[in-house]
Amino acid sequence: VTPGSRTLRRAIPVSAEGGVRLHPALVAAARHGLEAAGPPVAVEVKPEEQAEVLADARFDRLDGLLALSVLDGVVSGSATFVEDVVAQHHEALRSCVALESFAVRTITVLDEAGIDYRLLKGPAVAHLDFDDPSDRCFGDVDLLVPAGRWEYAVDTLARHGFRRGTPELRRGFERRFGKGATLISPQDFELDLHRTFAIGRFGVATRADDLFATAQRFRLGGYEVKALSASNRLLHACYHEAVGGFRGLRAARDVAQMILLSGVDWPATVETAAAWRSSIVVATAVTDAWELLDLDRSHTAFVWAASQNPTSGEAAALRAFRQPLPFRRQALTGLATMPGIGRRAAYLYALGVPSKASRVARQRSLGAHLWRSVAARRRNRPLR
Amino acid sequence: MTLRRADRVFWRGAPGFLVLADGDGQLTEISGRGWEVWQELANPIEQQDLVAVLMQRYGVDRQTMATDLAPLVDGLIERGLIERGLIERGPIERGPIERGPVVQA
Repeated sequence: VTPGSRTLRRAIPVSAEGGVRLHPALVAAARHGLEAAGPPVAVEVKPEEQAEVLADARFDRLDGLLALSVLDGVVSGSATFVEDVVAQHHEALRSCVALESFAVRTITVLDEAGIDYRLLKGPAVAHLDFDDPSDRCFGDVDLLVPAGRWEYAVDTLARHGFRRGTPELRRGFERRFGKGATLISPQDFELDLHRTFAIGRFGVATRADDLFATAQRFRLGGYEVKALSASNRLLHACYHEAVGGFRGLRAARDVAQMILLSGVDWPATVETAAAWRSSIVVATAVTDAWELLDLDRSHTAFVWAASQNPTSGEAAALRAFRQPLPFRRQALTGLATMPGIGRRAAYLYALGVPSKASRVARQRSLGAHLWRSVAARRRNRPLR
Repeated sequence: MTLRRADRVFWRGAPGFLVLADGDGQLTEISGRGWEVWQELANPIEQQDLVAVLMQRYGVDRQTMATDLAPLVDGLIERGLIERGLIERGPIERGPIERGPVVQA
């Protein structure tokens, strides 16, 4: 896999300049230890590349896998590089334990308020899907709460000092349509509170309440916490990889890790996705992961994924998430499949005419907001 | 005297590195043998047994290992990260690779 290849253009967000920075050492680190991966190849990081590799590893939370790869001789570099990799990994581990402590304090608040939740992504995947959680680093805490308890959860956390990163688009938007909100704790930890997995077409199709029918419990700092079931964790990992925010090598690794190493029942994931009319999300994520990490394509998961073809509507929606388009453009992909004219109208109105507080936070007047929407559409270019 | 990990402690380790956080997020970092010692504390263990395991691993005599270990153990106890003498609470089921059953919520 080389920068600029078809695979990378599909899987990795491309910068405005069209550049993709992806060093082979990072690919080697991201695939290191996967059973279906081919024989390991030693990749040398040259002195002039070291700073960039370290920065990209930090950005994509690959610090643990890069350190492991250096330790196992899969990635090599100067003595300084090795020292820096180890130091960066240690820094990431400090952050992980602080975040886990924060996660449990937050979960305790929800438990005491009687609000059900599922711990998502980083801490859950690190403990449940990796043999050594130190290999899977993360930079924030994500919790899913039931849509029906959304506002109560936000209010409860606000009473404990949490504040919003940005104001809600319009009152009630998040509960009805939103993916979630970022809340900042009094100690400045970031909490991504989720109502569902995605915005846009595939978020609309999500039946997030189904995710609360099962749980996988594990102890975090001696406290019993609830994560998604294994097949639902894979489903979430696929959503993140295919239609998430930044979808880098780590997102691909999570998908491959769960299918190849932690033994997740991936056909069960496909079954749920089919019920949500989102099979193409799983197929895309699996295809991306296998191509990006150069995995064995005879695996049944890849064979299934490669046989799936998106409808024209699905293809258009997926494209919207594969470019650095703004939130509204991606959210609009949900309009076509949203049931109910009134609901569509409310959705469109909220996206087109955000509340004053929301506009103020983005430093835009209503006129400027509307003009930017119209102008960008006419010129067929991304909004900033 | 039995040693065990305290509740509400979060940890990560790598060769020569151990970082722990308490329930308030206060970090404690230990270099050297801290990670190996912490792994041995996954289940309650008599301090003398811990010394025996480590002296065998590192090929040093009992007195040297006991002397080396004492400040680390005392420091961890002082910070509430491990507890002493609570064996009656029984083995603890937890740890980095612990997996819980899928249950109906």
